[in-house]
Amino acid sequence: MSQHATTTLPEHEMQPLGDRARRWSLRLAVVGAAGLIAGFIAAMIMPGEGTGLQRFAFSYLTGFAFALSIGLGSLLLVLTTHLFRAGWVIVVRRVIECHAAAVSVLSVLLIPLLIYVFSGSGWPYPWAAAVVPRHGEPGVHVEPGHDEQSVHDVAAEIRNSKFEIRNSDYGDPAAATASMMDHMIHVKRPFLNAGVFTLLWTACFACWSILGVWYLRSSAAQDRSGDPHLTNQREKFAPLGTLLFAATLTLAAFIGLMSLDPTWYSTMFGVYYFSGSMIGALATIILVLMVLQNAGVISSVNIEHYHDLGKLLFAFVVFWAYIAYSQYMLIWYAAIPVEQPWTIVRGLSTVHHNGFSYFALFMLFGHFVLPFLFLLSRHVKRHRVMLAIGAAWMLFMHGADVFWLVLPPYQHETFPLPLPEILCMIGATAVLLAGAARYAAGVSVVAYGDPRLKDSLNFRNY
Amino acid sequence: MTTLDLQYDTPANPGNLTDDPRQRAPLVTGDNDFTSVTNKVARLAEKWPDLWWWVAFFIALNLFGLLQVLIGYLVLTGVGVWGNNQPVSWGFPIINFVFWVGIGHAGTLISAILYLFRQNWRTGINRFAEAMTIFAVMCAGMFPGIHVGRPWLAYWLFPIPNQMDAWPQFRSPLLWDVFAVGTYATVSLLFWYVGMVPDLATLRDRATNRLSQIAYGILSLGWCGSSRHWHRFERAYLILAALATPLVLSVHSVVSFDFAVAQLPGWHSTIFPPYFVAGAIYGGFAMVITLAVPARKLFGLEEIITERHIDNACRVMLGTGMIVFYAYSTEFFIAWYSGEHYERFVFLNRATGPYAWAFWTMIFCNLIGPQVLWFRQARHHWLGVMFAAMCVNVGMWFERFVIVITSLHRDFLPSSWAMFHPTWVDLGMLAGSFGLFFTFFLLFCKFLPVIAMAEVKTVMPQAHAHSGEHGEALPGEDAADYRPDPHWVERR
Repeated sequence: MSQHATTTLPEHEMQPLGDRARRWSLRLAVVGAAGLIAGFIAAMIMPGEGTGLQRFAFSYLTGFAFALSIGLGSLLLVLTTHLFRAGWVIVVRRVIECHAAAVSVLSVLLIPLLIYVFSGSGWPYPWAAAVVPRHGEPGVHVEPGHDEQSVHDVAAEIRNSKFEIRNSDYGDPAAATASMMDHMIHVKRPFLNAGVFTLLWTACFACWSILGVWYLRSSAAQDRSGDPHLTNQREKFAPLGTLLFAATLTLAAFIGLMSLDPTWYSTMFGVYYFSGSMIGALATIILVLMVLQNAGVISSVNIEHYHDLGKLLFAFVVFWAYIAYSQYMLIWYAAIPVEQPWTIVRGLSTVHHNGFSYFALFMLFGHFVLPFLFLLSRHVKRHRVMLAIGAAWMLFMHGADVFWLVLPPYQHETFPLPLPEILCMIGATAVLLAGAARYAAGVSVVAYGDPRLKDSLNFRNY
Repeated sequence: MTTLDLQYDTPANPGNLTDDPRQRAPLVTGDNDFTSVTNKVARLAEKWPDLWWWVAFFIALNLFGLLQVLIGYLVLTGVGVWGNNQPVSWGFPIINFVFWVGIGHAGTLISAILYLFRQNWRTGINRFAEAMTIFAVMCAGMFPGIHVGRPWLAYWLFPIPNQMDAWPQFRSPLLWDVFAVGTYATVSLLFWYVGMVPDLATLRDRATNRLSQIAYGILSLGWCGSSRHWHRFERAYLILAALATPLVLSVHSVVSFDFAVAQLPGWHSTIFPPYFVAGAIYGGFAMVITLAVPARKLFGLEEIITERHIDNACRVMLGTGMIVFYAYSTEFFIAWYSGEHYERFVFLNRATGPYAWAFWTMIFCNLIGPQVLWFRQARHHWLGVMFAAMCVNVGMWFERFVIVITSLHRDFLPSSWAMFHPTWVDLGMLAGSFGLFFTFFLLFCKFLPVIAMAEVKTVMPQAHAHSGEHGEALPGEDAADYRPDPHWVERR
């Protein structure tokens, strides 16, 4: 419990950040563009199993999914802290709100993905191929312009011949996998197609943008008016917002990441992406707060807030492990052929060794065991430098996790050097941060109009 | 400068149900102090029980007796007395097991997780929720024990060194259950008991007859309320809370593994672990509400288990219900998305097959009925609250029925399809398990402190006599007296 007198808020934390934030935004936008261009160049010149453009499709998706996860995690933090009427978070909430609102900016980064999907190249999504790959054949060509009717013809052909294919492929796992891929792409066509992909992502971004921007604006309006009813209003919409968030994040994870292998499915996958998102968001928020504090922009954040953020980060490290273990163990235990390839290409097998075998162990120790032991300590969570190390490590490991989700379908026999992916992740995240800084320009760094500010300023862990 | 018109405490919004974000609502209402709280709670254990208690105890004890008779009949006759058949080799016993383990989740969630989340309102309901946990786990543990066929050999489940070097099958999730539920029961019991020690000492000090003095004296472990005792108590409580928190997740996750490790469509679903945990908390909170709403009235504890406690419990129930809704939706979507013939069939069969009545009962009770809690009026009226809670109690039992029966009764081979018909022994044992639960619960209400008196006192304003010197807003305190902006002060 508190043993301290009431703390007050410095005057400068109640002023809009203005030009200072605009300058950061501009610099970050430049870093973002440079990162993505560098990622493209790296992908084009890196050796790999496909063309440079094919590699870039996967690298770009890695960067996009990574930055998006940080924005979405921030959005959920905004929603849930309202849902639970949290008092401790007020001092740091504005920074989180800006990141949540910046999800809207990421919608621009969707365009290259749409180009890939509509190009019919089948990268990174095999279901988007205009020519459905067939085992042992150069492909059933659909020319010109790969029109829809022709694709249906191909699908009909596959459907009619599937038993023949299976019988002829008996004893040949590669052939069986290929024929299964054909079949699955066909039966999932109502969901896995360019139209639904576009519609779904548009709806998701509309939903996230409205939520993120509305919460930021309402909070900023409260700074001006001081009206406590605005808090009630935000709390009132938080449950509905959380439901929308859960539905959209899950569908986005299904079509954006799970469909990289159209034969594979897991009911847990949405929760898995969500758990990683929270780690990415919390680690980013901790680091951004420290940078802002070092720059003298915000001084009201104290070790108590960092301690709570550290506790949440620790909790989600455990939660991620729980989800990842449950998903993996159930797939391993049941050993159903349609589920196993997804884990095998990611090195999660003691029988099939590939380029990701050691990476899978790295994930176990780097994403769970070591951070668990490190962040367990109260001392670490209450020590800025140590917590910064923990947060930076978890951000890095979250990047590794997204890389692990995306890249193996492209190349898994040998480990792909992740330079293009790292550059794309830096680029896309810089775009997100540029958006956050741009939103921050019009608001103060602390939501000083919130009626629970006093709770937060004087918050003490016990 | 205009003055804000803040109509928070309207007649429609009385007591401590205020939504004014400038305040933290008081958690004990009325003109209460430490003495009155002690009197109100301790009195229940000291006075002769009311008539309603005797009537309820009589019914519960009879049902408990019925359970014991049926267990005797089962042991003497064999598991053929149940409706289990092939292919439905798991019937009522596993349904009841999962149902009761789920009920047992809310207690530890309230005590451990809400404690770590600094949710002070939990102090009003944690004691009897923990008691509920213990008795629910007793009910749960009984069913696998009598399902093994030869219950006198149930101890084989434990890895006891023996001359034949025969060990349990460690790769079986049923064995994991033994460890998970066993650990959970042990830690929950410890948590419940440790938290009760100061209150038992209060009962000891107030006891007027020799027997009570001796009994409460032994149970209170020599507690005298010294600083050293409190220091150790707080440390032990925090450590137990930290230990119990992963257990809340692990127990029902392991229970879900019973199903999910199988290759059976309808059972093998990777979302099962968190889905089962959410479902367990959903069902557990429904039972907490089912017990709390009448208890606060019958025991005269409305000022300690306030309307805000009920409101918060309803919100938790609604939230976990939404997670359950998410899991149902995901399962159906993925059943279609999987492209697997058998997956699709199982889910279609659930919704349109011969057990569609059970499926739609589950949907109504778990997903539709409790939605009344979105409305403030329903959350603030005992009828709305009890309707939602009873819906969930029924719905969560049917959820397990749907998972177990509909996945099994039409398996991969149509020639072996069969229906499951519960026998009178199945139904009697289900009723009897409620008898066991309520018998122990009523005895707890009579002999032990139903409210954590010591903890409730810590969230009363009297415990923070110097709160004006502190920064944070405490329950009942104005949180908005800090305003650095002069305009704001003027506006207020």
